Amino acid sequence: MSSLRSWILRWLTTTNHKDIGILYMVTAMYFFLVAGTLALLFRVQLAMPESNFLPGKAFNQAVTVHGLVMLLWFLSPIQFGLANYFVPLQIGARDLAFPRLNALSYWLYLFSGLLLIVSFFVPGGAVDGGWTLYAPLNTSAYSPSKGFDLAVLAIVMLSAAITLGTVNFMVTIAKMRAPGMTWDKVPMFTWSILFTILMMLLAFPALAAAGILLLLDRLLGTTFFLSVEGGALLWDHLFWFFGHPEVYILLFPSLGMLADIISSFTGRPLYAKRFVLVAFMAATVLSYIVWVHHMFITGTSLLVRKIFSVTTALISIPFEMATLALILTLYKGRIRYTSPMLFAMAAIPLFIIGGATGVFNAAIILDRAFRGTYWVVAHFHYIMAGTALFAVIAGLYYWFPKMTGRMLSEKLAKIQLILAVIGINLLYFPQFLLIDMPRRIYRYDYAPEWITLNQLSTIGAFIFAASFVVALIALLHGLLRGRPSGDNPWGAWGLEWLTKSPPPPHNFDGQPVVTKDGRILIVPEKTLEEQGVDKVITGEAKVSVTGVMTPNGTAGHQSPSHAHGHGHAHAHHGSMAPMMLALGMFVAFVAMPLGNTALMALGALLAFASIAKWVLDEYRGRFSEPEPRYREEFPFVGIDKFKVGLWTFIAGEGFLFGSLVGAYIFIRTRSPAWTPGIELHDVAIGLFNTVVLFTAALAMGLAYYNARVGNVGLQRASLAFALALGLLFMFTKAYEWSKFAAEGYGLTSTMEAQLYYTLTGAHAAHVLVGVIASLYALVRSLRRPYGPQDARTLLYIGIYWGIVDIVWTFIFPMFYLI
Amino acid sequence: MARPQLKWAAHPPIAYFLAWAFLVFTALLEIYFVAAGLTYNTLVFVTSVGIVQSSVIALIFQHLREEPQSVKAFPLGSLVMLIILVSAAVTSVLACTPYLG
Ligand code: HEM
Ligand SMILES: [Cu+2]
Repeated sequence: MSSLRSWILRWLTTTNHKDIGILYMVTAMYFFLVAGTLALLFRVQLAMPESNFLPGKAFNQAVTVHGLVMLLWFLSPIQFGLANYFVPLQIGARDLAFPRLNALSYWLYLFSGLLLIVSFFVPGGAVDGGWTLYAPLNTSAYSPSKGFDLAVLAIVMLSAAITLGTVNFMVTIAKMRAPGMTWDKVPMFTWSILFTILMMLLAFPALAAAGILLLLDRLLGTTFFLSVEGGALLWDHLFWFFGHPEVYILLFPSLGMLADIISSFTGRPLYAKRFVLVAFMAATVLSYIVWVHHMFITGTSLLVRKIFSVTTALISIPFEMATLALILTLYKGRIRYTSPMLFAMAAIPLFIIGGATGVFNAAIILDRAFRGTYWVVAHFHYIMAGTALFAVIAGLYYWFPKMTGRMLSEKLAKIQLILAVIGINLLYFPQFLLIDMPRRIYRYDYAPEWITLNQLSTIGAFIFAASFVVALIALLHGLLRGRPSGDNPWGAWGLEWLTKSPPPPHNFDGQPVVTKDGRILIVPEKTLEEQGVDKVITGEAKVSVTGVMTPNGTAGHQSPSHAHGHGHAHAHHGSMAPMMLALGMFVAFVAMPLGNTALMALGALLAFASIAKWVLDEYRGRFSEPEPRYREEFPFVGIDKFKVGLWTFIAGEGFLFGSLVGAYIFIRTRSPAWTPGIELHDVAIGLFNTVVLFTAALAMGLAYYNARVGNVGLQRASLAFALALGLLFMFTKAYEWSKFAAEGYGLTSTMEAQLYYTLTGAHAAHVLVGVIASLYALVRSLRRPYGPQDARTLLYIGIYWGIVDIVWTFIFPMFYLI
Repeated sequence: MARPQLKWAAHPPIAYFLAWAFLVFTALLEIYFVAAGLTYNTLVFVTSVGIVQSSVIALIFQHLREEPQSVKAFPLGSLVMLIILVSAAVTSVLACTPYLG
């Protein structure tokens, strides 16, 4: 095989967290380039009040795609690229918990972004409704472009990628920490990722639900967002229930990076770390109950607006605490002014400006005036393009030597910093003064007083862009010419600095251990076996280490002779399946709005073939890896990682259905009349299917039981029974649907019918997955019966059937009774 | 390997059958009550039945009753968040001035 081919193949099939982290970062930078270019284009348009450079629809497309890509395909992904690379290193793990799933997340992310890019080239052009995609403008009645469909498909696909990612990080952080790394010793960046995924777990299902409903509207003719009962407000609620947590999702990882970087370069632990953690936790919970501050001028009642005004003011408190802690850390420490530190320090005042203006927005009375003006644009750009992005740059520069083994040029970085600070302030400060200029207009010939401020802003944009050109040069220069960095060039604190730069595939030559008094050690595994891990943690055992760091901030010492390997000569597990699955979905999704059934079938085929390959690998145990032998896993001691992952995933599913049920309640309470399900549907059929589902859960329970007691015959019979029941449910459902449609209640008829098809359809899709899982278990059992040692597979399939049943216990009365 | 054996004893299949019978029975009762108009507030009634049925499914068929607190926390935490979400949404919907008049 030629070296180029094997190089390409490696990147296409890799499942290693560090490779995937790099892929995320490179891809995110590409999307940054796209979105940044769009921004320069519309800034040029705005430099003149009557410009024809990028008028009308093109302007709207540029603004919309800019917003979506920057938030969803650049900022979060580049943070998660760093998280992919550094969370396992920071906690002393060898990889993420589910490496292939991690690869799948990445490829879904990449192809979902490409969907959005492709949308520029389809009839009607790219999405142009503003990044918030407000209803009813987002329906095909007002925005018929095929590119709009692709954007919504992209969002749904990305939501899937992110949900899988949350499961992966949850299990990794909760269950794979190095022995001795109790929660209070977990680094801030890893903590911030934990809070971020908790928010993602709830927020993205709401976005996915909104996206699914919108797709039904656009592709199949339902009227959720076009009707009076649903319409603009339904979208607002679903979107902002996602949208507000999303802004913290973008902020948290950056704050985590800031904390780690600042404590490294002041040589002090973060001031009041526990307090900051409590503040983060409070912000995580509060982030769900502030979304109506984006709806202050919709028809919401004054009381509700007052409540949300208060919660919004409240949520700024935790951030003020965090900022204070950062500043106090700076104040108490001895600062070393390296380039990562300078970027980190620059992020703080930007945060103060952006945050303070947010608090102004929280006041209903002020917001009435600010809403929809450039003031709001300035507010959130100070935080996102300021704080969040500056912290990401700081993070990239901080960890660059670790990833590449080379140093960046401090000089280039400082030039970049100066340009960036001047650029961003010139770009956004004038926008605070454009407090009466509406957003999303492309001409303002009626208001000559806005010209100068807009021109300053455009000049600022180009200076800001220039800073990124310098950044690119700095990165390339560092990569090719940078001087060797050694393992810990900054004398920084943390496990990632105790391994080689770049780290070997298995991350550490030995087992990382954190002692009670806070030292970090790399201990040969043999020593751990002999001495006992507990004694090493308490410090009772005298061990020879290959690396050590002591908590007073002094640089770690690592003996130069790395005893290589230690038996985890990781077979480099590569798999093509994740990439192929995402590619298949991409092809099918591109074809969908264009109505090209052949291409759709091809994409679906590819996707199913990849899933089959994945399952086959699973069946053969190709990827089964033992869990790490020594680990800190409170509060999940002794609990299988699949179980923790499954329950995390189920929580996400719960929020997906919760959002759909929420939409049902919303529409129903706003409908003047409603025909109860008991008059529309046959209760007898509904009851029949209810019993079928309950019995399927029973059958799975029996299969699990019989696997544990070793009764092979009954194990197989139960599995076959569960499978048959799943199929029976699907057939009954199909019969029911066709009967209902024949009675004149098609998908596009009444609101009752639309909701019925949507919710029972979403549920049936889950039944289908249950059927496939049961089929797999049956085949496996026929070949190789499950025994007590692997019965847990059946338990997990049973847990899945359980959630299918649980959802049904609510859907059944919703549609057949009330 | 004595522990797995104790676990089977703790979970004989009879529990599955009882749970199943309970679920079918409550489903029948639910239909009867609603159809006969015996409920005071139908929405509250069916939601409560759903929650009771879900708990049985979770405890028996998803084996949550055997799990430690940390695993139980997933569905419980999600339920709490869902309730916060739904009640916040419902109150803000009900309090809003609809265009419907
Ligand atoms: C101190 C905390 C914050 C408060 C109190 C706050 C408050 C607000 C309020 C009330 C609005 C609505 C303004 C309007 O549309 O009229 C708003 C808009 C916005 N905020 Fe914040 N905010 C805060 C922090 C953040 C952060 C950290 C981010 C991002 C990382 C952010 C991003 C946004 C965005 C994107 C919008 C505009 C959405 C749109 O209409 O396009 N905010 N903020
Ligand atoms: Cu908000």
